[in-house]
Amino acid sequence: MATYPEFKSPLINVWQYLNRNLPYFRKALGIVQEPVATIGFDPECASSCNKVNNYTLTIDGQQFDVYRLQGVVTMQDGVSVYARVLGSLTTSSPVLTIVKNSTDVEAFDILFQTTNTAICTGSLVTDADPLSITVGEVLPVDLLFVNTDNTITTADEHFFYIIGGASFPFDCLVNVDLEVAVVKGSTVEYSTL
Amino acid sequence: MEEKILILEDQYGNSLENFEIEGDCQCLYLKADGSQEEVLNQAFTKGVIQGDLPKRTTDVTDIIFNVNLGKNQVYDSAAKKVTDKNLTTPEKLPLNKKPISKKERVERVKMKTDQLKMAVTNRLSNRV
Repeated sequence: MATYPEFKSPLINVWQYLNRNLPYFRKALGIVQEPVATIGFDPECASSCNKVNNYTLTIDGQQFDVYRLQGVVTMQDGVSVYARVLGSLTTSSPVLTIVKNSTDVEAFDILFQTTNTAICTGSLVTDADPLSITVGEVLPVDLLFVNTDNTITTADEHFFYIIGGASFPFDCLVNVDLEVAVVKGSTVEYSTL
Repeated sequence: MEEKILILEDQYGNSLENFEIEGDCQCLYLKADGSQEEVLNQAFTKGVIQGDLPKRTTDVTDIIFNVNLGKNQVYDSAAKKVTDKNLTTPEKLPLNKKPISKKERVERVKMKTDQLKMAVTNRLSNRV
């Protein structure tokens, strides 16, 4: 039961809920589970993974549970190649598929200010080459994608990487938002190492 | 016949003796060909299972215990943790977790990260 900090006692009367905002009610009733991002092995990454409740996908007669992986990846080293590891998802499911990718790339431009583009080859990133005449302006990146890899430890453990590459040093911020499907009922553990 | 005593622990190594136990313990021998043979299915108390198991033959690679702890929780000895029964299915496969130290894990991830950076660099330079 939720605890009202001023009274140090459980909320048992309706009046005690006065002047509470809507997110508080939703959290108290367990309607939403707020994802807590955890900084992982790579200090430039923070992520979390939670099951999407009441959502089952059926693909070719097979039912799948869906997990939502969210995180933030900072790419501001001023280099032209990045490989950031978000974390790993260990599952007993024989199949792991990314069914939705809403990952957003945020970059700063001296003229446009903040730009947001979907993650793809051609996402806008900030030119960080101090010798370039376009330094501080956004340019399309050559490679930027989500990569899953289950060859690092065991075949059950899938590591999630964000990989980027361009012919020029660049900076950007990647807001990761993925939906991952595993066979319904599979055991799933997410770890940020 | 060999005697097997199982002390229940959760994934953090805490004793589960205080758990409410209302079910039974199922023990399976996992064989090299992937098949499973049930060798024990009995009720138990106080978090300790004490019973006789048939002697293992050479093709038995692992022992799996499925223990009902009540409140829809199941102790899975293969994964060495307590899971919610609602999240499991009868044909659930155990996680293929090999003991790997944190240090080795970090080293492997670092090595893979370096390989990926090199691969991206090569891929971009090959294109030009």
